[in-house]
Amino acid sequence: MSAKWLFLIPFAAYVFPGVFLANRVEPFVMGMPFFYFWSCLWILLTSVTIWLVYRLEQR
Amino acid sequence: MALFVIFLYLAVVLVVGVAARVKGRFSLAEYLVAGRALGFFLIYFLLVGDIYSGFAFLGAGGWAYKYGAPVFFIPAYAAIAYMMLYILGPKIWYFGKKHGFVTEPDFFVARYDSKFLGLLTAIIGVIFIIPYLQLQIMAGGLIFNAASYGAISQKLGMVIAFVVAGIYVYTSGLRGIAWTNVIQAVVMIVAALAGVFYIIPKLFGGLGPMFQELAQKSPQHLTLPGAKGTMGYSWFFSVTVLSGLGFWMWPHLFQNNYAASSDKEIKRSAFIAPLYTYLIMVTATLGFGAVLKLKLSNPDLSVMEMIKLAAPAWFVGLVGAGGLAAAMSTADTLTLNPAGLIGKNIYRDLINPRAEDSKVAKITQTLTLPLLVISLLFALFAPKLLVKLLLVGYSGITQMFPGVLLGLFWRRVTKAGIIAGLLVGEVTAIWMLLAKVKTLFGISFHAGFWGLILNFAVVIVVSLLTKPPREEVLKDFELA
Repeated sequence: MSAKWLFLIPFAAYVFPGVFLANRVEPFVMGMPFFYFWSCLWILLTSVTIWLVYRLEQR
Repeated sequence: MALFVIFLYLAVVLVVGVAARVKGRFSLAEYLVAGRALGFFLIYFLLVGDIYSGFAFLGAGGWAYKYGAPVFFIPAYAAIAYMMLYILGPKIWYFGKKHGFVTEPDFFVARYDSKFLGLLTAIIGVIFIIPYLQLQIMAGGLIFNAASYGAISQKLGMVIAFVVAGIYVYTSGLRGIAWTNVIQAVVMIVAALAGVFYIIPKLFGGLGPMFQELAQKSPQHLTLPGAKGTMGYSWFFSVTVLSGLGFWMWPHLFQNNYAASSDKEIKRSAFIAPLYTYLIMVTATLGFGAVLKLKLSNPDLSVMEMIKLAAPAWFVGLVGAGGLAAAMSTADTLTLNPAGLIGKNIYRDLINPRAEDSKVAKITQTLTLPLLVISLLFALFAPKLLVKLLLVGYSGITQMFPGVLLGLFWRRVTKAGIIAGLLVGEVTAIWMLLAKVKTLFGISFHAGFWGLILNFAVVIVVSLLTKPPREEVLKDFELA
């Protein structure tokens, strides 16, 4: 199975259905309201996911 | 002092952009796709430089100020766009190199064995790019005006900035754009980092206190459906998916893939690229801060005005240069691209098929000038004329997505299917947007997203009802 299916994880977490859970003000994380924090987190984790797919496909 | 910093930046960009020109081997592939020779460093800045446009610089702050959390659709669609880059980019690059493509319509002509589809996609590209170019020019002028504390009018700012961009696009083509994108990225990153680590702490004592205050005074800014109460889940979902899938369908972004020296460079760019989106979060953050500090008649100025509240003039100049960089690094590709579409897909493919490559290259180069001048004139004298087209922009461009995706992965897709789907998608999107139809079948998805769904459905049905493509074409695209 293609490693590219891992791309569904950021999509699920950030867009659908993740946004239903993330769309909240509380709890604050490191001074950031939750939805803002969630966006910052998934920018990083999308990067990590693409890197992981790249590594898996290199092998 | 602010003016000095901006002019210094413009001078550096001009020198580097013109110097990037490769002497001696002037060809269409050299001019439009930098001879397919850009390594990791340049291809990275080329691929990310366009997402952070002048609109994003002003607009992300403006959106955060005006609507609040709906602005997070930008990092969300960027995440989808960069995953799509990893999936589509290497294939677009591979077939581009194999068959010598230099534009997006080139792909359609070869894959669907149809010069008509080449013409259709070239026209769609030009129609939606010109208003987008005009928007970048106007954003550039607005930033110039604000950063110079009004010393340079918006109109004069537009002319100065885009004469500079016009010169290096004309002389150096995509190579000039790639090199200037590096400088522009550095200026933007410095400006943005300073924004977060200097401006916010100085005005609020840190990110935490700022958001605590916002959560008390205007909590609706921090969640969907936003401060205006109009952007809920179905809006967020459909706009994010529409923009994420449509991103690489913009002809200028599609063909940047051709410029890479190998598919590996595209893949490596794809996993570093999302980090660039933090710049959007920075401008959005300043916009959130502006809710507490400023009463603005033009929300697009929230970033510049926040900086002015806390920083000395030279720094305002630097941020202005950063914003100008964002607008120029998008506008330059938007000038080059329609010239290529007209030169290659209309002049070469349809009017004069036997024209030599160097002649097509020369015509393309010459076309950049009238295209920039026309857009500049629209921006100066009729700024509102093309606004409606802009509203349709992403929705119109994304309708090319089924043609690219299915063209790469499904052997059964046919020319008739793609043409029918494209027309249904465009008509649906444009009709819903212009007639202000908010829901279809009771679901309030964005107009362009509805267009895309119907487009896919029509492509699949019509393809299955029409004769499969020739075996030679399928062999060319390794689907046989």
